[in-house]
Amino acid sequence: MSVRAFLGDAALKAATLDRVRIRWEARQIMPLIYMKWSPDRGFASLTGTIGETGDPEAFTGRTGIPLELALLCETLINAGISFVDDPEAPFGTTLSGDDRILAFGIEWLEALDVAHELSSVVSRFLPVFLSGMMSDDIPLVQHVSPEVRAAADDIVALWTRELQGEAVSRQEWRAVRAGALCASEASSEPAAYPFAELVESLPWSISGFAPEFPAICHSFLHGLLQALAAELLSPQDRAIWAKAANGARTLARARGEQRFAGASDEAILSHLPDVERAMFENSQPAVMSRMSAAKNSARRLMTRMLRQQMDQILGLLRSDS
Amino acid sequence: MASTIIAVDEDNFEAEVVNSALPVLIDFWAPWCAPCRALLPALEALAPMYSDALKIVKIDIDASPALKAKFNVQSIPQLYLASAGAPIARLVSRTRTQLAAELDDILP
Repeated sequence: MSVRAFLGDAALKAATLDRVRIRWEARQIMPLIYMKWSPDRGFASLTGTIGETGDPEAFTGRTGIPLELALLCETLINAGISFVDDPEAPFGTTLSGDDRILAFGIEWLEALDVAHELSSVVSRFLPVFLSGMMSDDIPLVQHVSPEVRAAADDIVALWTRELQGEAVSRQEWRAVRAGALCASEASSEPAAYPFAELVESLPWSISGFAPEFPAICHSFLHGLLQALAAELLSPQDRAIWAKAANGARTLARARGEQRFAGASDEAILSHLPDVERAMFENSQPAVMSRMSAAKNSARRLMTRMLRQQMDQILGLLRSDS
Repeated sequence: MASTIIAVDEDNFEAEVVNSALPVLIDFWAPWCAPCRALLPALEALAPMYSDALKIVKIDIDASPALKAKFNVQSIPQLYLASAGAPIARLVSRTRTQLAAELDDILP
């Protein structure tokens, strides 16, 4: 769909910004990873508030903004904030986050020029993001295997050719995909699993891929936060987490086995006692409480990286104006 | 984007799933389910890739409780491959890469 930001209407942009800014600054909008709009209950995500709709099909027609761009911006914010229990708050929780992260909620909307056609923004962000996640200043990237790095480089190279207008054959993508799957399967360091799974998820032609990216991005950032938090745990707790992370991989593979078709996770785990034990240990309240505290500390370590990605999006939006 | 995935309910299940000449990948979902919405673009992308080997449909479990019970769906999203209306495999992957690999293993 080819549409312009705010349907090319400066008055719609101004009205939308005014409406969103008031609620955003009052912390009445929950940055989620999906679109939510329940005005009767006063509960809404950023994307839902922008479009005043919970209907994904209606969003772009109302705003001129691709849904994947709005969800990606909201996902990046979501990864940098936490929800804190607050019995006084309308929904029993308030959000807490660094001002640099929260500011992005309005910044990206302000950066949209009503003359912009936005359909390619997320596609152009993809190679920027993947290259950025493999750069040396990203936490835990030192654990990523050379094979996963090579697969990431291959993906970026093909995307770059496509963005330059070159056709990339299905065979080339198939070869890169096989390499990414193989590299991810061989990855054996729990701290690097989020990177391996990210690379495994991405080797597809850039055409039409953007709508899948916000969910992939969320999964990666969620995994990275867990892995970063694990680094802050005691050696004993870190070992428990690593066993559970390996167990989760084993369980995921087992779910696909023919002998477990239709079986519940509980039933599968009864055949995998080591995995069951590892997951049980990691789900003990005291262990989970320490992990939760570590995640709050780790979230602060992600602020700089998240802000860099937000700035990359702002750069893409502003470069079109 | 218009959906390429057929919406199936208790009224058209027989026509679209039981009588389908191709195996049918059924996505059990609900509009309120965020992970279901996140999975949908990957399924939309897979539909044309496997159009000669597979039909992909989605069933809203709230609108079709009998189908939810028939397939014993305990959580969503849940993906089943069905032949003649009966499940032949449960797909556990949630990304396009993994789903394609899983389908390539299962489909003839």
